[in-house]
Amino acid sequence: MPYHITKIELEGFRGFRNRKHLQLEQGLVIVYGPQRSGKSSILNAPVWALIGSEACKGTIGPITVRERIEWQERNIHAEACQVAIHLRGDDGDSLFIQRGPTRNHYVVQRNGAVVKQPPLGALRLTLDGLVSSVFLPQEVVRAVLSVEPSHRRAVFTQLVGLEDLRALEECFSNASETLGKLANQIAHSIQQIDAEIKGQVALQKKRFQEVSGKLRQRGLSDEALCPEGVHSLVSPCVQALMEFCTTYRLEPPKLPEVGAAEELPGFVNEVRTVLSRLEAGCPETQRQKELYGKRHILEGLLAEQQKIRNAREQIHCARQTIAGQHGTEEDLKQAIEEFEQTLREINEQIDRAGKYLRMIQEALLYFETLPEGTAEVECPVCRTARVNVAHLRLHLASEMEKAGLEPLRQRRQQIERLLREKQDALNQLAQLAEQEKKLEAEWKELVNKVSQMYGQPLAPNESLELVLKAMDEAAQAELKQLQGLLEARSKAIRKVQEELEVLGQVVQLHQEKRRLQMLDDIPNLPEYRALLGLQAHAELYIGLLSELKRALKKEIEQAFAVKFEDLKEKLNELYRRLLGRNDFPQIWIDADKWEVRTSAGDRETSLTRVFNVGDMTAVALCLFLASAMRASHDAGFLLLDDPIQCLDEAHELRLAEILAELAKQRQVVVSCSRSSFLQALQTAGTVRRQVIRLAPWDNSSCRLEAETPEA
Amino acid sequence: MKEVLEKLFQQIPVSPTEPMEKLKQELFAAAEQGPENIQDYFARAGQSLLEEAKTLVQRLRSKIGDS
Repeated sequence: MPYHITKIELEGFRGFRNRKHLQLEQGLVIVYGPQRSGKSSILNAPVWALIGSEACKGTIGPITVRERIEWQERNIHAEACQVAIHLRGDDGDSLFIQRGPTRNHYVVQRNGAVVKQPPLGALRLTLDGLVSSVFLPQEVVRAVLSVEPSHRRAVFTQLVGLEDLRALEECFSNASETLGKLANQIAHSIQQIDAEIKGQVALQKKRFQEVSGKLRQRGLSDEALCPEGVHSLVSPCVQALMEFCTTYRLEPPKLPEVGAAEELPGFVNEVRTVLSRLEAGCPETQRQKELYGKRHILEGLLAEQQKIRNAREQIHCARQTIAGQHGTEEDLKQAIEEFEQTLREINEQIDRAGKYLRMIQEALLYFETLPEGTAEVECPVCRTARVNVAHLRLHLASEMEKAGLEPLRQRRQQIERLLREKQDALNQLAQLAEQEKKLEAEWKELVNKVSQMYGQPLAPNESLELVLKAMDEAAQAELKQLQGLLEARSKAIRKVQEELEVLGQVVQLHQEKRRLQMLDDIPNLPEYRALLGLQAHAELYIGLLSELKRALKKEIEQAFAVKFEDLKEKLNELYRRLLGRNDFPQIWIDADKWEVRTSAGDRETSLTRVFNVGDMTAVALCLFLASAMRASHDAGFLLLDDPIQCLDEAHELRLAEILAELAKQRQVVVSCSRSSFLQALQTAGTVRRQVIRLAPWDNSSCRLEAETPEA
Repeated sequence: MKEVLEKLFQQIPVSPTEPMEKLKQELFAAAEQGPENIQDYFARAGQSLLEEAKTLVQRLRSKIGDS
């Protein structure tokens, strides 16, 4: 049961900012207005209500079919977006479909009751049906004109109702591309691993050759690694070690048995440990250590002896200097006593003179308290009456000179200095005596030490230095003797070590060989095989997708042929009407090149290559209308967004006639901006029609100019 | 969409091995949710293979290093 749209409610949808109700009549609905007045918004509103987010998907090459990619459904000034369409069936049933505020939120009501059905399902409509027989956006008409066959293929398959298959094909392509990239990454990883193995093998081979070369120089080959070879390698080493033990009367060590190359590293380590232990335990080595220690001590004692000697020499020199300056200690003591006596006498003289002077000073102080110019005083020195202060000062200075106080003081200072010098010298002599005492103790201790090392007390006249030197010379001589023995021992040890070195190289060779085997074996490891398995798995997916794509392409071609065959007659009938030529030869679509073709006599012509833009637009329109006439869903309305585009006025008139005739069977909503087409639609046929006029865009929202229902 | 896939599988030469049957069933299940799910299915499968490959590569690298 077909439904037609009775009302469209828009709020915040694309060009419409505020809530708007559009009442739609049955028959022909013309949405007329200038560019950017909101015509496409009105035409797209029912489509958005029906498919929501699906409206943003699907492309034909660079052109989106259902709508533009990144389609902005919400008005830029609105906070939310909502669209509702009211539909009425031919038998009076009502349908209400609302979508918003998000793309995926919708409500469907039938006769006022909510039904759990998607909007498309409520009209028994599929996506295929919608894009092939209900809604014709501007982009589809333009896509027919594309020079790219894949674009034309997309639009033709869509117009005959194969959009689902085409979408599946697109998914296959995308999946194939994604998998291809992933498979490449896996292949790249395998290549990297192979390269790493190759690099490591080259490195190992180089090392192997180096070690092998060293062994060959010693007359050994890789065969030495067989059990017999290993035995022959170990024997010289064991023999050398045993000889060493026999020569030096050492107990032969117990060594591990070596039966295979794997046991060599353990053997080598063990021999090295044993050798080190034997070398350390040798008595000559111990003695050598002792002698080195003894020489070290002797050197210390000699240095100590020299130090004491030097100190004694210094004390002697200091005594000589003091004797030269001050005489003997007795002389010093006597001089000190004499100086002390002299000092006492000088002090008494100074004391006496001081008393006399203090008396004059007191008189002077008294006179200075008298008023200036007083001359009533008698001079205590010359007894002159009525003298002044100046007179008194003069007499005081002369009296001080007479008393000899200053020379006395100078004399006292001189005696004091001499006394200090004598006392210092005496103290220095005491300190030197103390130091000498200490040195004597140190010397005794040194003599004790040397006696201990010497093994007997030193004779009173025996030179300590000579004894020390004699002991050092004896130690050196013994060391020299030991050196010969130790060199012979070292030679024996070196022999064992040389054998050990050979064994070490054999061990290294064995390890390099094992590494090489390990690297060679990596491609046989389960991990490597699994990696190859993953690559094969990815290639299996890609191969499968490729097969599926091939099969789908064939399926689309076959389905297209069937669908097109069904539409061909109607398409040609409509096309001849639109062209106004009943004699125009049959046209069809070549599913190989996706071109519109025709035949004139024996010759086939590609109309895609010779037709102009208007003619190709006409083909697209007729294919859509033919598809719409064959449709069997319940959407009893057609939505044509500015279908005329490049058609001239004559074609406009004929298209208007076709649409007016179609509008008798179903509701046709058509938008246009050209007045000639509006006039053609208003005058074509006898059908109920309605004009929705839109005012120019006012920078914030689309506005309705008038709604004019016509009989 | 599932029917379309079944028809396509009938047209392509695939051996009826156990993994292939499993793959077909998984694809049919994905197809019931729409074609985009088929795309997602392959993307997920590929990603899973890549992750597994990365783990294996790491293990092999450690073995090459140890050798």
